[in-house]
Amino acid sequence: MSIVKSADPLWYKDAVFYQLHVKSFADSDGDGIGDFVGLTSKLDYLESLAVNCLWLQPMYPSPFRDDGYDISDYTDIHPCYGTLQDFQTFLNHAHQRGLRVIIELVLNHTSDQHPWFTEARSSRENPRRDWYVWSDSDDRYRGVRIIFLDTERSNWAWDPVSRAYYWHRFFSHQPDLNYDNPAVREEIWKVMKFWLDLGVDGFRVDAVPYLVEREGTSCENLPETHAVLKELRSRVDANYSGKVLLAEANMWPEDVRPYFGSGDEFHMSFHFPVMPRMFMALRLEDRKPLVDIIERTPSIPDSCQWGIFLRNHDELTLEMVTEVEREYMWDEYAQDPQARINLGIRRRLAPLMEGDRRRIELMSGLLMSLPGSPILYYGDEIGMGDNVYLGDRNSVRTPMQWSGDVNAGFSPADPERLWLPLISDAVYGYQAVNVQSQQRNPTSLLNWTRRLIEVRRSTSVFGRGSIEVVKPANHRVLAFTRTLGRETALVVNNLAGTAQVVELDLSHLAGAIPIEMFGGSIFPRIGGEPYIMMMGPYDFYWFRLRWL
Amino acid sequence: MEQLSALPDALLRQLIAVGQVDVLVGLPTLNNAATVVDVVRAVHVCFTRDFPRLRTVMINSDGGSTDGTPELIRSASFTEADMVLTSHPLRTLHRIVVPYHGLPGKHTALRTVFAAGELTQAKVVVVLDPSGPATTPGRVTEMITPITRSEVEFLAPCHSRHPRDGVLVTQLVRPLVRALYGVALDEPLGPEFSCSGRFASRCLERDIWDHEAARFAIDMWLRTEAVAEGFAVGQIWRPAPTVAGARTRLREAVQQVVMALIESLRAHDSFWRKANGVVELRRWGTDPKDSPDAPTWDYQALAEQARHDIGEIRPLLKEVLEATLLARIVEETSSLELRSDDELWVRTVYALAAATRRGPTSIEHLAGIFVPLYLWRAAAFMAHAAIETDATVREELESLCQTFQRLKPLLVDHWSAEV
Repeated sequence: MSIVKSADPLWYKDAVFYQLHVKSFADSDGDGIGDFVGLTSKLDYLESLAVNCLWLQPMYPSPFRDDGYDISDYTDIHPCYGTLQDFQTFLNHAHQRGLRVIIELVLNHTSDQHPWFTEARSSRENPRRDWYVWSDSDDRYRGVRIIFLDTERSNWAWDPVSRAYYWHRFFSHQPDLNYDNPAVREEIWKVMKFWLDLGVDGFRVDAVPYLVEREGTSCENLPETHAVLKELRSRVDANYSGKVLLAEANMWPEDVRPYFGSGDEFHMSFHFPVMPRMFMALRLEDRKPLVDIIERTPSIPDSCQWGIFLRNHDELTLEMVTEVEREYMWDEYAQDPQARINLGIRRRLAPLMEGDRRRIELMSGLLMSLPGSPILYYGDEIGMGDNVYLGDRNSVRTPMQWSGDVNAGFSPADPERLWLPLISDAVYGYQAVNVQSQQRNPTSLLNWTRRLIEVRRSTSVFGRGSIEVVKPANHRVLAFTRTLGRETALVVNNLAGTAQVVELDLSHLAGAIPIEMFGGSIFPRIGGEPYIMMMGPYDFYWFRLRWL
Repeated sequence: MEQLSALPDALLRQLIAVGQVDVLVGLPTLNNAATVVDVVRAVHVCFTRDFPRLRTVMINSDGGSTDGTPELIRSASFTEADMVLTSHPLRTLHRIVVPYHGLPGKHTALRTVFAAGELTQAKVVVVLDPSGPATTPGRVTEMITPITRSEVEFLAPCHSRHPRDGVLVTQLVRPLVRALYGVALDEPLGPEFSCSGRFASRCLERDIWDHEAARFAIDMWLRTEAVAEGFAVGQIWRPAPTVAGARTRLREAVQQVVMALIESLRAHDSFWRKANGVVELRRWGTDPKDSPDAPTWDYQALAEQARHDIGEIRPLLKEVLEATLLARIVEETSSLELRSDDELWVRTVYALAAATRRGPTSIEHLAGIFVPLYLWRAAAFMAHAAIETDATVREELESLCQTFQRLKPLLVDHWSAEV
C-alpha cells in the first residue's frame, strides 16, 4: 500500500477532502453553536476516517444572513466559533495528525456590514467608494442572469445611504467587490497572506466567475477575472509551497477549463456537472448521462485536479443540466416541493437514496473512483438525514450526530438553544444514526466508508490516473479503467436495482488478472473473448489488474 | 419436432443488454434502402423528444435484404435538423439489427418482434412499415401515446380512400370483417399497427405463426384476433399509402387474403358467430384527407378473363356451391352486361366460406377457385363506379356492408351445420 508523502506539492491529487461547517460540528461552550475547541476535540475521529484535508466553511465574523458567506471581517474568527488562538490551536493539532486544512475565501463580495462597505456607502467621496460597483441607475449590465432566483429580482440594489445602486450577484446584502480597483486586489492578497502565514493549506475560493463586470457581457468568466486570479495565484506560488486554491465555478467543464490556466491559475476546481449526473444515471439505471459528461470533460494541466462531490452545503444544483433533465431530477428526487430551492434540491445523500444502503455505497464508490479528488460532506459517512422544512439550505446543515445522547452529543446546551434543530425523525434521527453506535458496529456505513477511503488511498491511480470508458451493450453497467503508468484499475458499477449480466470487451487488457481490491479475491484472467460478469443490484467492483 | 426459436442467440444477447423497456418499435424490412433511414431517424427523434423518460428500443428484423438495408439502419444517425427538434437524449437509445430466423415472410419478422417484446416486457409494441408514407416523429408518437395511456390495446391505421381504390378491401375484406366481427374497422389489412405488450404476448401463444395463411396476411389476422379476444381496438388516421403500380400478382394477393380470412374465421368462430351489430371504433389523430386518385383499370379485360376462368372452373364450383346459387352466378357472368348483384356476391362469399368447413377440400383450393369470382366482382364494381359520382359510390359501399351484415345468419347457420 503506497501512501503519498505529505511533502508532495501535488498532494491534493491524492487527497480525500472532508467538508464541514464549524458551527455544525461540535459545540464545546454550550451556546448551541459549534466552535473550534469542539472541532479540535473531534480531530481523532477525522483522523480515523482517513481523510486528508478538511475544508472549513466560513468562520469569519458575519451577520449570518448567508450562513457566514456574508463576511464582515476577513482576518478574524467569529466569536461564536472561538478566537483566533482557538483556530491556531485547531490548525496545529490537525497538522500534527497529518490533516491539512483549507478555508473559505469569499472573493466576490462582502457583507453589507463589512467596514469596507459601510465606509464606501457613507459618501461618494469616501476613499473606499470605489471598492464596490456603483451606478446611478440599474440599467447597467442588462441581461445578466440572477443566481438566487427564489429571493432576488435584480442584480442591483438601491442604497438609501449614498443614494445609488450597488451591484450584487448574490443576496442584496452581499455587495460585489470591485476588482478593477488595485486596492481591492491588494487587500485581498493581504487577507490570503494573513491566513497562509497562520499555516492554512489553501483556500476554497467562492464564486470565482463573477469578479469583474463588463458592459455587453454576461459578466461571468471574463478575461479580466482570470487576470485577477492569476495574479493572486502567482503571489501564492512566490511566497508559499504546497498550498492549494480550489475554485467554485459552477459551469460546464469546458467553461471551467480556463480556470486552470496553464497550471497557473487554480490548482483545483469543482466538477459541478458530473454530480447531478451521478444521481441521474442511478435513477435512470443508465450510464449515459455520466459517460456523456466524462467524454465532454477536457484534459487539464498535469498539476491540476477536479474536485468531485455528491453533496455539499448548498442545494444539489441542477444548473448544469438541460430542462428535460432538471424536470426529471425534480420529479424523481424532489417530489415534495419543499425540497426544491433555486435550481436545486436541498436534501442529503441518504434521503436522496431513500436510505438504501446499497445505493449509498454505490454512489460513494463512484465518488471515490471517478477522476478527481473526492470531497465528502460531513455526516454523509454515517448517512445523516435532512429537514427540508428549515429555511434556505439549512436542511443539510444540521448538527453532526455524534451519539444518541442529549443533543446527539453535539452540544451541552439546552436543546432549544441549538443553532439548528437536530434531525430527530424515526429513520434518520440522531438516536438511530450517530457516530458512536456506528463505530461499535463493524458493518456500519461509517466503517464501510472508512474502508472505502482506505482502499482508495492505497493507490494513486484514482487520483491521478486517466480514464477510459468501456461501453458494454448493457447500458445499466458503467465500467471504466483508470491507468497511471503501469498501474491499471478496472471499475465496474451496476447502476440498476436488479441483477445484471454484462459482457465487457476487455480484449485490449488481455492477459491481466483482476484482483478485487476490497477482499483480494482473484478473478479469471482476461482474454480475447468478452469478459462476462454477473452483478447483484447496485453492485460495484474495483479490480487491480496485474499481468503476472 | 424441434421448434425454431424466434430469438436467435445474437438477438437474445442484445436483448439481455437492453433489459426491460417501455416501448419497442419493430421495423421488419426487406430491401427498403430507399426509405428506411428516414424511418429510423423519425423513431429516434420521437423517442428523444416525446418520450425522453421511457426505456425504448428499436428492432430491425430483416428478411435477407440485398440492398444494404441493415447496414443503413445500423449507421443511421441524427442530422442537424433532428437536433433542432430534440434536446440531448436522456437515456441510451437502443437499436438492434438482426436477420430473422424461420420461414421467409412478414409473419416471421413479426413473431421475432413480438418475442422480443415479451422478453423485454415492453408495454407498447409498434410495428412500422419501412416503405410506407412519410413517417415523421409525430406520427410515431401518435402510434404510441394512446397505448401508453391505456386508452386502447390495438391501434390500426386508417386513411381516407378514394371510393374506387382498394377494391379487395372495399368489396370483400372490410364488409366481411365488419359484418362478422361487429366492428367498423376501415382497414383490416395494413402493415403498420401498435399494440400493448399484453396483446403481443397473447399472440405468441397462438399457433398461427406456422400457418401458410399467416405468411401473407398476418396483419389481418392480428386485427381480428384483437377484436375476437376482447382487446380494446382503435384506429388512427394515417396518410394514404402510395398506390401500387400494375398489379402483376393480383390473383396471388387475392388468394392469400382469402386464405387469411378463412384462417381468421376458423380461429375466431366462437366469437363471430355470436357477435351482433356493428361498433364504431374510436379514432385518434386527424384525417389528413389526402386520398390519392384511384388507379385506372382495364376492367373489361379483367371481366373477360374472369368470365373465361369461371367457365373453366364450373365443375369445381358445382362441388361446393348450391345449384341455384351457381346458376345465378353463371347467368350473371354470362351476361353481356358487366354487373354484379350485391346480394349474390355476398351469398357467394358466405357459401365458399362455409364450404371450407366441409370435408377434405383444402382452403388453398377453395381460395383458388374464389379468385375468378372476385375478379368478376371487381371488374363489375369498377365499371359501375366509373360512371357514378364518388358520393354515390360511397353510399353503395356502405350498402354492401349492410348486405353482408344482413345475410350473416346464412353463414352462421351453414358454418355451424358443416361441423
